[in-house]
Amino acid sequence: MHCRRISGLLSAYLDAELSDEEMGGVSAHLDRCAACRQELEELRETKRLLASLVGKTPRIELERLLVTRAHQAPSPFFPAALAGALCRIATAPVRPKTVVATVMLSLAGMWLASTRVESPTDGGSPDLAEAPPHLLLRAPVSPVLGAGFADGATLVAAPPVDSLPPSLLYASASRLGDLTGAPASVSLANWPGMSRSRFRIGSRFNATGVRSAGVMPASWQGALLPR
Amino acid sequence: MAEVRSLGLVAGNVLARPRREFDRLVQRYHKQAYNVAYRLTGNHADAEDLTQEAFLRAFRFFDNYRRDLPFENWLYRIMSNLFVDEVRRKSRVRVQSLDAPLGGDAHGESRAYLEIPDTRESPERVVLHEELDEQVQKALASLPPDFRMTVILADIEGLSYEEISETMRCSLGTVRSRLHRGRKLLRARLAETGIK
Repeated sequence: MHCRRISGLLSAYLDAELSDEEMGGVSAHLDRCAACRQELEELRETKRLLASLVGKTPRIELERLLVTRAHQAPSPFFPAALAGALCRIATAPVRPKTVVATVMLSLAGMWLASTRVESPTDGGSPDLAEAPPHLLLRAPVSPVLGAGFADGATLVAAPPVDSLPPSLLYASASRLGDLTGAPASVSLANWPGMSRSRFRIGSRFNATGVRSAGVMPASWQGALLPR
Repeated sequence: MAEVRSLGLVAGNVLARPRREFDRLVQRYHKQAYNVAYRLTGNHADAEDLTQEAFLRAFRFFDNYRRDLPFENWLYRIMSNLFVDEVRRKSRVRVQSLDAPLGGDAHGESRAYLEIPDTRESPERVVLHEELDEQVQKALASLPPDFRMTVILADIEGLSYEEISETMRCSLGTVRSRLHRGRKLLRARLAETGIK
């Protein structure tokens, strides 16, 4: 056999993943060929190097988070009555992507207050007890997460808006993100007297998904969205 | 066909699932899965995200798990698909910062994530290991996602070609080729940075 052919088999030879016949053939070639022996050694070193890497360990809380998140729906801070009243997910007959789901969250404040949510701001966390009862959020669902939720989930709320801190919106969006498993966005469109403005808030796990698609108004006026 | 589902119904489905079994699987495999996620993504924040998303998806589709391959391999398949999709998605998203300062550095790497030091080693060896790890990780990150995953599964997780072929749903020939080329690319990248 020639070096060119052998070369492509060397990894599999190293891993003993060739047929007996192929193993024999490569072996015989290696006896005669220093270049291929050299290449085999280099592969062996690379494999050894990878195998010697110290395993990266997660933080202690991860296990609990994984379990909690998976079993989220009947969680203690998500009262069954609220769950029932909350979410209607309608799927359009034709294209899943045109779906909008709407979730009425009438107890946003209480709900947020009972959730341990990481705020992106250091210190100065919002007083969630005074959180507005309603907040409008929209969360498109990442297609990779499948059809668990339809294409858009919207938390509908109307705040007494003057004092909605970004961190509260982040918290709300995070919570929605937790529910739908996707980055959540806050939409102020459709509110009377409000210029169209919209900004998105990234995943609750890391902040890199944050992006701004508009200008946040200096003061907001809110109203209950017509349902 | 239109269907209307309430969250309550979804919650009911969730409740009906074999929770205990799943919790046991989380307990048994989450560290291993996290390691793979780290090697794929290159940082702790993304690794945690990816691990969470993978387990969440595994839980949602637990009914579909036919047990024809080991759970952790099925999970790796999910993770690999999620990762590839995320890589594609990220290349389209432009990131701007909002008014509020965010914890961690520009890449979302939180200072709360700690490496657990290997206390059997001398401090010098620990540092050496960390530097080497960083170089290897960088080299891994330079591989195309499917090469990267193949190398991780073979050389870090120790899967056989057959297992990799089942996990990644490709032929044995493809496994062989990706692994061989992946290792060579890795070595070339390491050689550039001066590691022998």
